[in-house]
Amino acid sequence: MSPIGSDTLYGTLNLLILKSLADGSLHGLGIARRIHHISDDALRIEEGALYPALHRMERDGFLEASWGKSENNRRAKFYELTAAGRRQLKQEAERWRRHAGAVSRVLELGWETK
Amino acid sequence: MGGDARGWLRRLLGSSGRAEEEIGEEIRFHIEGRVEELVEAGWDPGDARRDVLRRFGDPGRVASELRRLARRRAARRRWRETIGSILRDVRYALRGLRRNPGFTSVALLTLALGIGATTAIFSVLDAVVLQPLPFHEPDRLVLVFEQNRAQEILAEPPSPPNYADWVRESTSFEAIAALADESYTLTSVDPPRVVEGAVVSPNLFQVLGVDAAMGRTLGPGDARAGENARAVISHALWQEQFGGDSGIVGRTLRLNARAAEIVGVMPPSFDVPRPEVAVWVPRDYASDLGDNRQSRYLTVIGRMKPDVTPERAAADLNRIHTRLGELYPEANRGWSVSVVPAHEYVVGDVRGILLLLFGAVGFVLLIACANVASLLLGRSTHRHREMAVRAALGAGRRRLRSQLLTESLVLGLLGGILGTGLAYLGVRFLLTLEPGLLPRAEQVGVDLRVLGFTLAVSLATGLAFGFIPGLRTPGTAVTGLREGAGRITGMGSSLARRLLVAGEVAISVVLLVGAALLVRSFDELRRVDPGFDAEGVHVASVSLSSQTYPENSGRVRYFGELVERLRQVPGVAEAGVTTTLPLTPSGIDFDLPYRAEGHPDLPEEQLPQGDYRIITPGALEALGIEVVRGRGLRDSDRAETSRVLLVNQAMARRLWPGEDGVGKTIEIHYITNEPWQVVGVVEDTRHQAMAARPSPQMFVPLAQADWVFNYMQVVVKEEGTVPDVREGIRDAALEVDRDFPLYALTDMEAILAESLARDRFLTVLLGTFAALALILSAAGIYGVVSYQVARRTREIGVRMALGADRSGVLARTVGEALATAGLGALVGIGGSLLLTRLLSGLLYEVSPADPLIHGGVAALLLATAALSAFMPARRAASVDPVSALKSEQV
Repeated sequence: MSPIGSDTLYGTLNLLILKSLADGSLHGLGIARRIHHISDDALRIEEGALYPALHRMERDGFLEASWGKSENNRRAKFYELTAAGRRQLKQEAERWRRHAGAVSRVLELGWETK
Repeated sequence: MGGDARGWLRRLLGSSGRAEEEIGEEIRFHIEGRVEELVEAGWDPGDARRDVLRRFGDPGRVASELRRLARRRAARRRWRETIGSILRDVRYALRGLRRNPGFTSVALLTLALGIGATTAIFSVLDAVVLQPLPFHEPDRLVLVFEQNRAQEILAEPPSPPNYADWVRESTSFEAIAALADESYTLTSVDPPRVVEGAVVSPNLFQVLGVDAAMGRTLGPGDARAGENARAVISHALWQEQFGGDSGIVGRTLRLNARAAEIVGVMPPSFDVPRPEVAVWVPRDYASDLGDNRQSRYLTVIGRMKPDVTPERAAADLNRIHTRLGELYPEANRGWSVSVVPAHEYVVGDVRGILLLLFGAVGFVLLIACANVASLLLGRSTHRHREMAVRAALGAGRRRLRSQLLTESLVLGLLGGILGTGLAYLGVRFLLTLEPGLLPRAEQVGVDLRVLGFTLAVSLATGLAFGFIPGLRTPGTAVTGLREGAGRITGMGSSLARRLLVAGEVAISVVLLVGAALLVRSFDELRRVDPGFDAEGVHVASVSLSSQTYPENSGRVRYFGELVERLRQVPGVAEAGVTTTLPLTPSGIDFDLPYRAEGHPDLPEEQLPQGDYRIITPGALEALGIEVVRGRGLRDSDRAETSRVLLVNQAMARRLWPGEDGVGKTIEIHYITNEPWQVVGVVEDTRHQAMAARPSPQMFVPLAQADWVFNYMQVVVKEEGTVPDVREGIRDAALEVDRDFPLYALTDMEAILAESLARDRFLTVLLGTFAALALILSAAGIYGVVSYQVARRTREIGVRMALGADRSGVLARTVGEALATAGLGALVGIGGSLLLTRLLSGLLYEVSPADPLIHGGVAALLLATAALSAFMPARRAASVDPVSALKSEQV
């Protein structure tokens, strides 16, 4: 079993990673902090699950990794969006909005009005 | 070594140590960072670590998943690299081949010929011999024959009462089926048409495990429904006669004017006992047949119980047959049973021939390989400098070797692709040449199995000819460069090429000797006088039904009238009827024991036997078989006149050597034992086969025969005055009785040609392969000598400057080639003396060790070698010493 709860959560995690890297490169811990911060603790994931996701996205060409110095001067692995990663972020975000929009309409208006 | 092994292990596991460390470092960085955050916020360090780990999950599990990902990535990268390097090698090889169009086209043509011929023969071998028979568990099917060792009868069809006893008493069979050939007149069509049929025990289809395509096959009840009451028809008849009508089951067919209900249609592939059979009619051979155990005419097919071997089945049947010999000594004494596996029965005759051809074609492929290897050797010496440069630039030995091997494989595969095209054509050619000798020939084709074989052969070929030059991959980069490419001596390469050529010559000798023996034998056969004159002789079969003609007298009258009518047809010179025709299996052909005047009176089973023929006057005359002493048969030899017969020379010689024979009497032991008087002796004919010695034959007049068969052969000699005499012949028969048309109309020239078809087929094919071998060998010799001459231009120049004369150079060059070819020819003759023994069964009047043929072939090869060497040798002799010495090039 993957340490991550479900497929939806997995897809969401990818989107969150992409989003948190939108403004520049971060190391894994930085990404974890960013997600924690943006999502306001609403999304509870095991932080360890972040790494397989990062490595897969790196393999798939969405991210590029390089070793560099962290803010307190330690060796850390930094991740950065590639061009493909930026495209992926746009697409995923769009899909997510449509999906969320549809679900919230149903929740507000019910089935009948459709 | 230890470090190397660890590195190798790590490469195999797919993750470098560095990647492992980085995974740990990344996870540690995360956890430490979080712990520091909390400690800074005032947490107790222990509590902080616990809380961080709780939120992180198990670091070991995360790390192992990351390692798994890393391993997979590494494996994929390696795979891509391997493919990439192969593709690079292939591209490089293709570029190299394009750069040398001369080399490439010669090599590809050679390979295509070798692989194409091999593939074509394999496709035939595969379909005809290797594939199992299309029946349920075909390994359990056997054919059963009676045999009489004392009389040298090895496979006689069993008689129905003997079959019935086997069915009742045997324990090793699940079921035993029997069948006999029969021909039927379809009277429901106009004009009536004769079709071939089989009268079968109803269990035949269950024994074979074959179902009807439509309706059903026969069952036990069908045999009890009355003779010809039910029938199963062939797919072909269904199409031709009923237009593929889907409501055919239940309709009736008029067989010999009797209604038969069609119960089913067989699938098109069903061809038991022969592909031409169009109707299967049931008969219960096991119970409703008479007790004539000497009337042997059944084909018996048994399905053995699981785990029973043919040997055990034969022992089982022989136990029964021994008792039958005691119970019915006059019919069964001296007879036993032989059991032949069905596959053996179907392919036995041709397997040897096809394996022989496959062997021959394999030899051609070997020669092709040797030629290409020799070409590659020559090229690799030329490319020494290129290799040396590449090695100096850092290409490893392994890399260079793998690249050379890739070149060979690419060459082999390209040759295979071209060869497949040739094989398509070759198979077509084979099938047009094929005289109906091969069972299942319609299934022959280039299919996936065959393509798989071709692929394997192409790769093996590539490896074979790539192996020898590959051995000589240069490792000596620096020396190679230092020496300068032009002056590399390449002694090893030269010796290897000479050995290859000697090998080619040896193999060619074997093939040529084989082909020459067959050609000689075929020529002998063609020159054999068959004893009859085939020109302008038409033959046909006629088959009366026993319902319309139940009595001897009626049949005698019918055949008499038929001959009378045929003689009146415009363009007909002579006509007659006979039980059997020479060189064809159609007809009724059997031996009878006889006692001749002046010979001791032996018990019947010890009497000599002779071929028994029933003929009308005109039959022998139409065939041009001459009476050498006495007279022929006349229309005046009638039932009421004294009994007369003719014998052939072989019989007269055996019975009364040195005497005339005419006037002697012979008792033929048949239905009655009455004596016949010999009134004439006729020429011997080749009857069973052109290669078979004439056997003793007796000819009795149809009008006086004890029993006249309803199935006879018609012989008509034409005058040559009418363009198509066959139309008249056909009409004449219909005028005598409209219900019984002539069928299987052909002519003796076709029969004569067909009787030589097997020998022609084999001779043409082996001859083709031998010619191919000779051409390839000549090309091989030419190539080697040209190369030697080109390489030694400088040396020759020096020698000529020192006073050697042109003819000396010419003689030396040709002499070297002759020495090589001579060695090959010697080995080849040794080989052919061993191998051509395989041909002895196929040869007529030629010894496999024929010294003239062996000597001739050796001389032919030496002459070919001399000729092939002569052209390049002349180039050598015309070398201008001055320019040769100046030139630095190869």
